[in-house]
Amino acid sequence: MQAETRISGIEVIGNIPWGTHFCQFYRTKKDLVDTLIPYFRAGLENNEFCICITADNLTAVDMLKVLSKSVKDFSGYLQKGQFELVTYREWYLQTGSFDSARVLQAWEEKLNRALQKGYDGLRFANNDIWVKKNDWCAVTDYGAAFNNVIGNFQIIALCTYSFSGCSTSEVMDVIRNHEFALVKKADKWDILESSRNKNTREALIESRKNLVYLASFPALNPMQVIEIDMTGKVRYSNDSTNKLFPDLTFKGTQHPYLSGILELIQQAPPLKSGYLSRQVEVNVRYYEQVIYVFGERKDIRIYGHDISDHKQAEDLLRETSSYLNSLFDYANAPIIVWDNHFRISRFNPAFERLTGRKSRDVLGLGLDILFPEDKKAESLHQIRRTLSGERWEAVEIPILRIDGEIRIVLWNSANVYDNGGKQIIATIAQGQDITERKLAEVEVKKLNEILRNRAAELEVSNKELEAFSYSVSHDLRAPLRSMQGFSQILIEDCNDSLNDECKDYLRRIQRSAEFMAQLIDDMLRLSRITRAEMALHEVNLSKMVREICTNLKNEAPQRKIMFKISPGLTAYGDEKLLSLALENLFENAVKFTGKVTVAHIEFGITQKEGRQVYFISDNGVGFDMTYANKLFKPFQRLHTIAEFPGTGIGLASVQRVIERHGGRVWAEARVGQGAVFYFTLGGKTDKQ
Amino acid sequence: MKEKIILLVEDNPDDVILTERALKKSHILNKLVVARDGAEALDYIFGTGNYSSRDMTAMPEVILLDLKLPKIDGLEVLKKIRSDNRTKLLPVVILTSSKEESDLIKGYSLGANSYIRKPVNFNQFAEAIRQLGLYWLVLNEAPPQDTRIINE
Repeated sequence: MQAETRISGIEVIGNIPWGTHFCQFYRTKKDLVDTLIPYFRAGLENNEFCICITADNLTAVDMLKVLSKSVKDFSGYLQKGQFELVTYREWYLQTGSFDSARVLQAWEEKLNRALQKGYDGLRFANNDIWVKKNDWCAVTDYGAAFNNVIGNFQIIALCTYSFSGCSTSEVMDVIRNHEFALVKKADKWDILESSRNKNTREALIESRKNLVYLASFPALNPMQVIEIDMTGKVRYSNDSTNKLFPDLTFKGTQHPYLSGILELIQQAPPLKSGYLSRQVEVNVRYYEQVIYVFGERKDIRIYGHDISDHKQAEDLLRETSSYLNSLFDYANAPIIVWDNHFRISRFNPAFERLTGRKSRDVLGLGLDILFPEDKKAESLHQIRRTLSGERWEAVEIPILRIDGEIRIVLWNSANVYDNGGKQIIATIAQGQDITERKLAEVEVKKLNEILRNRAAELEVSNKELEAFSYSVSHDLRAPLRSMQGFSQILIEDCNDSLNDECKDYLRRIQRSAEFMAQLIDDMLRLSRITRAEMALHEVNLSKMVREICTNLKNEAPQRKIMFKISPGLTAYGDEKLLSLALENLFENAVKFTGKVTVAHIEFGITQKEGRQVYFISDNGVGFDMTYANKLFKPFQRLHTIAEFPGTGIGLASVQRVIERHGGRVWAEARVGQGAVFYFTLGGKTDKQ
Repeated sequence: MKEKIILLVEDNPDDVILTERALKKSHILNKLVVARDGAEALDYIFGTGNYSSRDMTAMPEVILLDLKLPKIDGLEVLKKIRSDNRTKLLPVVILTSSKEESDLIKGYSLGANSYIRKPVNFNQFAEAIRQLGLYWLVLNEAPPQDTRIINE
């Protein structure tokens, strides 16, 4: 920016703006020198191109003499060509008479050259001694025209007039045509202004100042300020625009910054706001433009600024906000936000489901509406604790539904702070409805309690049972031994005095005692099967059965028994218990085939109901399937003891063993046609 | 040679009679000393209490020990016998009604020489007693009377 004012060099005048056109009335040559010397010195020293139009009263030679004497390094200015001396004839009267248009044009050319050479402007002085009376009108018109011209350029002009050569009216004309005049009063230079000129000058100075000031607005604006015409030609662009887009003036509307702008203006509806706005993208930066169209020339002014960072932040914010909203709306967990006055500010759909209340009905209401009456104080106390910065992790607070139901909810919370990070502005809490879980917990606790009691009871009864069977095993047999033994002694000692009937009775007592002893043994065995610890191993069933059958054959050598045993059958189980079960089954088979000539007993596997099962079949008496359900019950018998002896414990024992292996045992039979016993040993224990 | 004594530890008088009869039937005529409970048995064995004046050089050839006894039970009696140098080698036969596995294991663990379950059938019982007497009183070579000599 150019300095808004220039140094006049004349003390009484001080600083003046460009475009100042003033005059001096002199009496002597010395008066002229007094003003012209400081006037030019100031111009030369301040980078102004200076022209002195000389007249006869102060010749070029005189001028050069005084200037080189008074201005430091004047020869340097001369060599540079910063100072020119022109005679008034050369300048004003080239064509013989004064031609105001030509002179004005000449000034404009001089100024342009000066600016081209890098000078700030043009300063000149001329002498009016050449003015002929008949030209006066033309010159005064010129003065007015000149004022108009130099008023717009970087020109300062000083016109000198001789007092003696001017009539009073001429002096007045001169003064009117200049902004002010220098006159010498009592040996001191003073400024003389027509009141019109004085006002004008002040207004001019003021308006010039304003203009420069105003011009600085667009020029210094860091935003883009551009004016284009309706053809798209760039008429003005400020510094920041030029720095940002050096090729904007050259490219005009071909430049991406301006492209499409004319079309936009043409298509835009009449503007109410007075401006249009749009966003453009140039080199991955975003600019917002405000576009005004005004004036008769339809000038287009564009004010733009870079909104990339803002836009980026905005996009990010929109994205984040969209994430949060989705999270909030689609979360399965109830989420609530309250402000620091404990008023509900957000309430998600899951919370609506939890409470049965609609978000729009509760926003702005106090949190206390959410709690059951008897828990209100406690719950609000919990909530107030968050204000001191506390975060909840799994705090249990019950929620009252609109229908009166109470849900138990586990809460987590987090505080939201203001920008300063100190003041809590909201709290966000997320809940988990654990009502069902709670109920289940209570239920499980109850069941566990029952189970514990049962287990304790069972342990007690097991201990009782153990004590009982120990006692049975020790004490119950002793009386039987007495009965049996003393009966025997009676038979032996009193053999002669007893008749056959009495002996038979005594033998019945003996048999009964022995049978009861057998019963006791079987009962104890059955209870041991239930209590015994199992040791699971791979068991070769075929081998086990072979050994059992060999023993049975040896015990009944008189019997004809054909055993058929499938080889290679194995199972996973307790060897002792399985052996006991198989012994029972085969003893039964042998027993109940006692009445056939040749017994056929078979052991193997077969398919039943889609799975492999073990079987033991015989061709014995069989049984009536009507009583099949009694078969495996302890002490239940389907035959009389006279027919087939036994205590009725055998099959009950078999069933206990099989059941302890996770299997099942059952039988199929028909009276007189034999029986088949099937058993499985549970998924894992069956033959592979 | 001293008479071979049999010590029967048995609280049931019926069983005592039946045992005596079984022994007689098998012509085992050794002196039978009967202790009615565990405490009495220990008194006899160690010459204490009512038996403090007993001739301690005459130790039983075999002890027939019931398990379920008043005061001190059979297994406890066995433990005491086995933990005393004077008696630790004495043959002890458990003669009881029970065939509980736990009794069998405990009995043998404590050093019983034999475990016999009394059969209900008297003939079988008599046969068991006969074999028992034959084995322990006739066939078996008894340990030295005073085992202290060996241990010292």
